[in-house]
Amino acid sequence: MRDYGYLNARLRAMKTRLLSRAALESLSKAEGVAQLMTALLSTAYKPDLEWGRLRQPGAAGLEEGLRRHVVVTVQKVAQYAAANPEASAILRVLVSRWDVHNLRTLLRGQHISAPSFEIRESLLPVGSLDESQLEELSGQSSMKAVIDLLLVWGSPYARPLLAGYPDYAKTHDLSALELKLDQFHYRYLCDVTRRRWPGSCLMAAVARRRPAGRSISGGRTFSVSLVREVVRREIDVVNIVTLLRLSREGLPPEECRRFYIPGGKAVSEESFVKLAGKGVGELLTGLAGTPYAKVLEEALPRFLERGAVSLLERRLEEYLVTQAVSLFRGDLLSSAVMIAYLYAKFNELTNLRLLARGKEVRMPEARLKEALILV
Amino acid sequence: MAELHATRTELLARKNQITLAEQGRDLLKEKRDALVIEFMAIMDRVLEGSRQLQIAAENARQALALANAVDGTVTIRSAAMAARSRLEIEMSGTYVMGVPCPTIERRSVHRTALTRGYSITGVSSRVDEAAEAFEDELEVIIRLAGIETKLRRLGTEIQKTRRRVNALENVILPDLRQQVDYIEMVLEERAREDLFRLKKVKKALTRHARGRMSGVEGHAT
Repeated sequence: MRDYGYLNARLRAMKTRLLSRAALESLSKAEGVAQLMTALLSTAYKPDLEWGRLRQPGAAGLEEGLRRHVVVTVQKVAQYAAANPEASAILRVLVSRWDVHNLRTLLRGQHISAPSFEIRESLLPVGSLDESQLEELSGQSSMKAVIDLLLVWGSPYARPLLAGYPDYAKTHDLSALELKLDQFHYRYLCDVTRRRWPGSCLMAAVARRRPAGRSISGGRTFSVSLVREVVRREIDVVNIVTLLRLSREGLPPEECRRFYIPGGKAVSEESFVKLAGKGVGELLTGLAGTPYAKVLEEALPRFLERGAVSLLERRLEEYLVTQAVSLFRGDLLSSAVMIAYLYAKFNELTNLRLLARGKEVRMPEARLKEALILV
Repeated sequence: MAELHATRTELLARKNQITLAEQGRDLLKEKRDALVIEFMAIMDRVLEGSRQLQIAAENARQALALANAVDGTVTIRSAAMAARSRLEIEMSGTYVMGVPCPTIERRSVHRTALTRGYSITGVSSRVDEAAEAFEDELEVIIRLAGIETKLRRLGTEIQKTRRRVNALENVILPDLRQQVDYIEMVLEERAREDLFRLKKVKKALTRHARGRMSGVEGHAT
């Protein structure tokens, strides 16, 4: 069944509980974390924030509550999407960033032989690995054991890790292993949203119901195409930010090739190598005609003033969020609502964390506003 | 004072001690003045360093707060695990007016985004900026640690020297001078007593001589 009606109805109801721009602006006027917490206790965040503040005081407690809210929200959406295999698969794509985060954390923990409780503190049970699986993985005695366990569980991420492990064992270069994981992750997302057949859970789900679905190209449905666009935009942003960061490293362009993530729309591998090590001006010229050039141009004066790549990265993130949230106005009977809702929710959580942390460290208002994304 | 032997040898010894103490006091005063000059010169650097540290710490706090907020604490904690490393510092020592002061070798603690241990494709530039801000702070801390330790040691030495000068000026020298005065007084007293005794002896002898002379004269008459 590929009916989005039920899921989208629930999501639209959940959307009404998202904080409005006015509500966020009024929250930003709170005088401290305590006041912010009090204001949020009258919203949908109440149960999670109460749970969080019992564990830790101040901004840390608020953040703990928000973290729990992510888990609960994704679980809720997964529950609503359960009857629709395609929607479930799309949801898995949308939250797969947490899979990569969890895997990276497990690798990093094993790299420094961190105690399992320290690794567990940095894991988030959102994505394909649930809490018990993460606990089991964090308790493994070595990196090899983690990879082996992933292999036993049939995780797609086990393969690149297994392939990269011998090099890691020789060089102890964790960043190279992480890079392999990142590249695989995006390639995997591109594959599952591109391939009509076979293998991927997403396309398997699509394929099972294909005759009833609207086919866009190569057997992809409209919903899958939407999520594919999201993934490709994300890859573009990762590549552009990587180029911006590499411009400070002074690496020869050919050496920068290894950082390229294939699958995006705006940055090809050749243009990536051509633009590697160049300044922002040349990057803008190279990106001319793409929406990213406009986004970067707008943020350029502030970047030139402060020289912080994060300013440009945040604007690119804003572009991703805006594009995704604009899908609320898209097809009501597709994955558009789910994509828009999840992006809006994740953005809202980031905004709340920003407000809490900003209040805690008395961040200048201009800097706080610069980081907030109000959609 | 009770154990003091009022002798000329003791008086000479005490006078020698006074001369030595005065020389010591003058030397200590010179040392103290030199230390104060050095202390004041370092003080300016420490104050400037503290100001820089305050700024660096504030920047680092803000950058971390931003990274924590946008990327989430779990992401930052995870990145921190990848970037964890050991910092080795080389230390040597110098002497300032005989005060041993540590010198911390200034080695850059800055790492590039490619050498922090994580892959740049999986970590945002906010994490880099927070890491850079903390590396800046760490560099100021290391630089300040050497100067501040030097300042603290010089301060302790100035206090110690001042105490010694004060002890010499207010306790030892007055004591010695008092002892010299006492010995001189006793010796003078003793000299006077001797003189008096000698005069008495002389008088007695004179009287005795006179008596003998008058006895001889009586016999003669």
